[in-house]
Amino acid sequence: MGDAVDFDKKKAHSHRHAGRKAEKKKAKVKHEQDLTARQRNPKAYAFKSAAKGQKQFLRTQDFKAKKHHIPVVDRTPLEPPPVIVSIVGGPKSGKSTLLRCLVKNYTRQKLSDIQGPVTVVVGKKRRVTFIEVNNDVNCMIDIAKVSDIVLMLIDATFGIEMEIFEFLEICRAHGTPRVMGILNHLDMMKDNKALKRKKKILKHRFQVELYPGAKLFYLSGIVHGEYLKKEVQNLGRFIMVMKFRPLTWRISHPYVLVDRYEDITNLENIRTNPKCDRDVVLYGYVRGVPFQKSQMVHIPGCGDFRMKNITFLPDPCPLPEHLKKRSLNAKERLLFAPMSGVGGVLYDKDAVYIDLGGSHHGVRKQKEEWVDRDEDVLQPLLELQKTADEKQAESKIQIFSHSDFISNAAVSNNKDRDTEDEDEQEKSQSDEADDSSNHRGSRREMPEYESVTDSSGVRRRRVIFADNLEEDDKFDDDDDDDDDDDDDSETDGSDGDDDDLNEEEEGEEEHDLAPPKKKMKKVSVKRVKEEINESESDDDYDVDGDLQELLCSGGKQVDESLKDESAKENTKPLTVQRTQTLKKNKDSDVTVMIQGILENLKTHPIKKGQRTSDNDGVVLEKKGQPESTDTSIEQKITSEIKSESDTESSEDEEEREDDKDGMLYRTDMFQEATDNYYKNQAGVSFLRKYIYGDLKEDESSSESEDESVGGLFRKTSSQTKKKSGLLSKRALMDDTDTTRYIPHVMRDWNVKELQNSIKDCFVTGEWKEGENAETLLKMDDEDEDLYGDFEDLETGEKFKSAKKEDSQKEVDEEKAPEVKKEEMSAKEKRLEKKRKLKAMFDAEYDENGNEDYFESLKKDLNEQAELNRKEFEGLDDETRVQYEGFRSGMYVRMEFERFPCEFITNFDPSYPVIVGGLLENENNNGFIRVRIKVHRWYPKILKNRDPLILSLGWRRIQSLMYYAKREDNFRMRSLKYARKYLHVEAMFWGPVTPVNTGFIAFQNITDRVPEFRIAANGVVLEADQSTKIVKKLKLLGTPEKILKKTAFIKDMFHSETEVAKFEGAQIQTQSGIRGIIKKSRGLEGVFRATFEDVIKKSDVIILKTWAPVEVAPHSFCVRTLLLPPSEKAAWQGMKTVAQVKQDKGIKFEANPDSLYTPITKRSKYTKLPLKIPRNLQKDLPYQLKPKFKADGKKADRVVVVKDPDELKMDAFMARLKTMMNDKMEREQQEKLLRQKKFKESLRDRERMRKVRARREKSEACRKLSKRKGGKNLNVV
Amino acid sequence: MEVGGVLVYEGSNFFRQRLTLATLSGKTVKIKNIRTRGEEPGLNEYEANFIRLLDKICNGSHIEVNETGTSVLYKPGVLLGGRIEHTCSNKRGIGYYLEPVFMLAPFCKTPVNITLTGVTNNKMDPSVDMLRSSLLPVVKNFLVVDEGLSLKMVRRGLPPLGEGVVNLTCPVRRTLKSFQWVESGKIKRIRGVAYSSRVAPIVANRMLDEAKKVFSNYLTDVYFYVDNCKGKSPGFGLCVVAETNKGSFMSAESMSGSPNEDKDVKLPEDVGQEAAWRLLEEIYRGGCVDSTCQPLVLLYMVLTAKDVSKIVLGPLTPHSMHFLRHLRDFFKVTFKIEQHVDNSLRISDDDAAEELKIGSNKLLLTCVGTGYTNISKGQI
Repeated sequence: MGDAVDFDKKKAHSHRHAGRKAEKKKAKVKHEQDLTARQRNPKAYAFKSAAKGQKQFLRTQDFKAKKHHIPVVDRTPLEPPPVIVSIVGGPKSGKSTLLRCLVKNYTRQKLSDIQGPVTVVVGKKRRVTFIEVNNDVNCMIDIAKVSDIVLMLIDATFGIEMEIFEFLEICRAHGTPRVMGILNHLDMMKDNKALKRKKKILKHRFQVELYPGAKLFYLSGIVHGEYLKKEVQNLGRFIMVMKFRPLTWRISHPYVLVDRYEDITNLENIRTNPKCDRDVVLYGYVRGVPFQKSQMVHIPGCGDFRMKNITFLPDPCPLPEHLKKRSLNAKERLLFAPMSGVGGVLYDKDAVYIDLGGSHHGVRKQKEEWVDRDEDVLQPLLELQKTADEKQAESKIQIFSHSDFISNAAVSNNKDRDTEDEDEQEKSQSDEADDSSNHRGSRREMPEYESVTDSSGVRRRRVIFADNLEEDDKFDDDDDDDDDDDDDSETDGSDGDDDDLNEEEEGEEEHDLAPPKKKMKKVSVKRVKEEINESESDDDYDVDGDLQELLCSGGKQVDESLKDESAKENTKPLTVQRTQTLKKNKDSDVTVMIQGILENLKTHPIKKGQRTSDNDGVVLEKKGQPESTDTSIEQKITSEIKSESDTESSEDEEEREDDKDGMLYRTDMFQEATDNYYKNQAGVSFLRKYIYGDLKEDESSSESEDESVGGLFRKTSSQTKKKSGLLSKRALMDDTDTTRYIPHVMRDWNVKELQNSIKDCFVTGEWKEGENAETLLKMDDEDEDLYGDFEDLETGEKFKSAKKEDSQKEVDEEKAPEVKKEEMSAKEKRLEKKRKLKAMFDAEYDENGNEDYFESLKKDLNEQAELNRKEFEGLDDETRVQYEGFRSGMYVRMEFERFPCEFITNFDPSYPVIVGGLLENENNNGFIRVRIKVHRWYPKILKNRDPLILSLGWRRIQSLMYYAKREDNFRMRSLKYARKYLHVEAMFWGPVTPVNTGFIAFQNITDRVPEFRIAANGVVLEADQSTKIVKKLKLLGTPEKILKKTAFIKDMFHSETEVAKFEGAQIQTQSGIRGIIKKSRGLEGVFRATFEDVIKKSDVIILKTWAPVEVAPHSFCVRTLLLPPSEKAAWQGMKTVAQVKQDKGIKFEANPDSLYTPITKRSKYTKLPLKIPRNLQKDLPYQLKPKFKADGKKADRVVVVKDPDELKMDAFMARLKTMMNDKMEREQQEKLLRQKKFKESLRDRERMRKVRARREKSEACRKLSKRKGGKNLNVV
Repeated sequence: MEVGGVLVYEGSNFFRQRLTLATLSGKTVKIKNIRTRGEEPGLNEYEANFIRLLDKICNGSHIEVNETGTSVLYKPGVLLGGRIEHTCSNKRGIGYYLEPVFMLAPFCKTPVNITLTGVTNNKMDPSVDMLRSSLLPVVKNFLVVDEGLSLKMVRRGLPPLGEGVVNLTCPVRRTLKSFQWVESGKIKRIRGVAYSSRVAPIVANRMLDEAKKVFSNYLTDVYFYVDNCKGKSPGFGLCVVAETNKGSFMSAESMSGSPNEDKDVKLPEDVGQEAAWRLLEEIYRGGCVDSTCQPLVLLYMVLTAKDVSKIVLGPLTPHSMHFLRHLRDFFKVTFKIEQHVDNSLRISDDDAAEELKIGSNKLLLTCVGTGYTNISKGQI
């Protein structure tokens, strides 16, 4: 065959390299060059060995996994708060200059003196708050907790300062923000070379401290007091684009960096007592998670507070609204720095302030001068603590020299006693309680008024009087809610329903009583009515009212009233008083009317009121029905409360009051109530109102549903005169507590209709459109159609897609005409289908099982984030705040009560004020177990129980640290010192903090210490209410009596009970004989114990136990913000024991037993000869008997005394020997020389031999080659 | 209302809610005027018993009851968990104690293994059968992984003597997962337990026959277990559970008084029918969880991370309404309550859009979690 092939062999085809064909071909394969080698030749990259492939795969997976971060839900709002950029650096490193330059760079404004935070709009989507950090550790700690970006200024001429290292360490403990190093003062360097070297060194050091590749900026120098424009611009750009990862603490806590504060304390209070507690308002942007109303907060350096109020304000420094342009215009480059006096407009809760800047300063100075001048005149007046009236009231006179002093109050009291014997004590209490009431007391002589000043009645009564307008107003403002309550309750009382229509009727009702001339009077009427009701009902309500009012009036009286609430429960005398007061006030028609009613009431105690109310109800019904059918239905709908009160709680109460007819009537109603139960439940806004009471409604449309109470229910509601929410509270006060809900009336489920009403709840019922098998089948068909289209799409684009649309439409039209009714346009439908299709495709190809855990987790979290964002998007801020809280990015105003006055007097804008929100359970204190490590650079050792200043969470506290070591059996064994270079566990008493929160510890925070100040750092492991640290305790005892292996041990315990606690415990003697405690024996703690062997009387019995170490519950909040500026950085708080001893000159008296004594050398042990007693010797066999031997001492050598001849000989011999030695040496050397020479000659000969051999060899080769006949080569 | 950092309440009602929420939130709570006007003023035996149980679960809590027992001051400590044994009061069922334990269990320091002794089934409280069938699946949803979660009825005990034994184990979590539960699904099966103690075994069969009759209108997959136990006290009852295809459970139960002592002894047929009807009522109410679970679900929703959770519920029970109010007091969380509108209407071929017949209107409750973390759970 081979031949045949050879025969058929034709000339191979040669490709064309030029010409048209070649060009065409070239054009065709052009793209091959674009492919990678791997694509062009995939086989070359295939695995050749499985092991290698596996390794490679593992490697890539490792790299992938390293890149992963634990995904977190992104909770940043649409409009994020300004980024906090803090500028840190040692003293004189150019912080202020940099801040000025940056602000100028962004806003084109030149600020001369910057204090506190400065907020600047830097870009279309970013605002920045700059803040300069001074070198106080406290300040650095606080800033590290909130800043997002840190600009770290390093003086190149000096190098990296200790402050920088400390700051980095602090950052590490609290979550590292982005850090940018800035090398400054580069122009101070001598020459270029030195500069380069310095740069290199510092950069290296910086990256070692942070992370490889950390960015270091260079500011080359100052021109006209500013840095180079270009450099600042670059830095600014970096700040603008920087991204940061959310830090755990900050995404779980809300916080505010305060940029403005206000003191809203009553000036009068400050004047009378300059050190009174202040009411302070703080402003700032919310960051982190949303703030809740009345949340507990911690202000680092100040303490824990509960927010009294929080409201959001319009943003003082908003982002530009339109985002069309590329850059911001001058108007949009806003600047807000209230502490430095810039910011232009300030928005308060109810006012707008415009700061006029410079002009103020001058004015202030002038004023001061003026004050100085007139000081002498005004000062006594200004310092008046009490008014003349008060002084007069307090003044006492003595009529006779031996009599008591008589005061004004006493006199008036006497009067009281004459007029009415009541509540004198209370009055005096009230007098003491507040000055204002005292005022009134002295002004008016109406003792019965004052008698109930602090109880619930007084405020209401004041409303009745027309001359007390002011107070009325005040009252109205104070408890608006209360008013509302009253309104509701009133309507509940009269008709139990208050939609618009009913409100009109209510008006009518009031017309009956008296024409409502003013609003004031209307209110008063209501109040009186309420009183009436109150007098009818039992007094539970009164207590409620008390508490409410207490809330309004403030905390002072609260405690008292809580204590003596029982005293207040007697309301009957109150009503009596009321009628009396009414009698006295006859200046208005209203009161006359009321008086009439009251008198009526007196005569017909309860019945009357009910009947009138009944009538009202009937009237209402009559009017309500013709209005519309809807309303009548609504009236029939009974609220949940009613059904509740009907059926369960207030049943008995009603029974008491109602007659038989009422009972009959009630059963009907009851039936109706249960029937309509669900319908009523559906009223969502009703529910909202019922549950949350005072919640702000976002929709007022369904108002009518709220007042679904029909006129029928007047009686029930007349008893309960509170708003629905509170009403039920009373009704259910002592109800049975069960979650199980058993409907009051069992409906008859044999009825077909009822059965049908739930038939679609079962799989056998109808399904929704999307889930219906029929539609699903249809969907499948459609999908197939679509799939065909899909394939078509790939080839012909436009035409096919159009066709698809058409077909789509057709499908829509023929199949689902209802869809059109739903107004779902064809386009939407198509989009929906496309989405579904894509999902199907994805399911099949992309994520078919190879979606790893990480990806799916990320997807879930993204979905959650999306939902979070979407959920409350449409709502207005007022409503949204209720559900979400004050979300981050809002500018809020936080009101605080009872702030220490030092906060105001010692305020220093260079110290940041941070309001850090605390979570619910972080307010309590407990024992915190931590893992702690002494910092490597800290020069001292940390002793157990020494106070440490900790920065933990938001707080800075001083606490006593107890170190312990966790042993293998999880026992925490107390340590005397924290060990260096090792993590140890520790416990201290402090605020409960979530696990894994980092903290940092200092021994002193004083300024200007040469060494590294951070003593230790660590992490929280656990919070508990008890400690587990133990230390070893050995109890010693001595045997009292020994009976074989049993012994009675004394001196170990003091009492029988002590022994009882240790029954069964192991003991041992010092020689290691083990035993067990059996039982106490009589008194004095003697006990019986058994041992494994007989012990001796002289033995010491040891019981090894573990005694718990008591951790002192001491924790003190570091309040540096309240200190005057000079002491801020010098606070120490508790001293260590060593320091105290040193200060007081106490020296430690050592226990002489534990002192080291000089070691005295023991004499060497010498063996004594064995002595065998003579008796014994006798008995011994001969062999063992000691033998008497003659002393076998060696003869001493005789000293040889040489005569002169012999000496001579010796000397001669010695000489000979020397000569001999010399000769030998010489010979040796000669021998060596000879050998050397010989070796040399040998080498020569060898060389010669080699030369000869080579020559011969070359000769031979030449001959050989000659013989071969090749070219003749010369061999050299 | 809050006075000086102490929440003050009045009356004995919602006693458990208040103490449980106080424990979780770490807030001190004071309850006064407990049955001041009742014939037996002050705390009841079972309430005192509950306080004792709480004290066992917690470490460092401080409870002050005044002399008359009409006022309680409770300062919570740290939730400890671990192995606990407790004898409950026979006045209330174990369900009374079990519900708060469920609320607290995931936030303890160590996994809870609690053994409760007492009355397992009574008329007032949700029985252990009911809790196991309806509460347990709900807890699972929040714990993500349900390893170590179990509720075992070791022995059944009926009132008045009780002596039933229940064992609950629950793992601990640092945080709960927020989740949305909008679809309740369709009921695919109905299961139940007919239990009887010290009565003729036929009683159980009579009950379940009656119940089956009711359900046969809707489903065929109806199956009941019969538990004829030897308890201390006589009695019988039926607990029925409906399971949907989306994993939600509805349960209801009915029980007769003990034949010898109680006045309201019912016929087994009546009990069966009542239980079935109650379940239908529960189905009518609907929602993703039944009315017994409402408080627990709401609490867990509040205790999740700072994310949005949603749930569809049937009409709220009075208890859960008050629970919502208490949640606001303790955790400052306000729920957004809306009418749940199912946007996809059923579309049939013959007539226009027609609503599905799924009982009462449903509510959609939405809240943002508080970002609660388990403070007590430590690290080694």
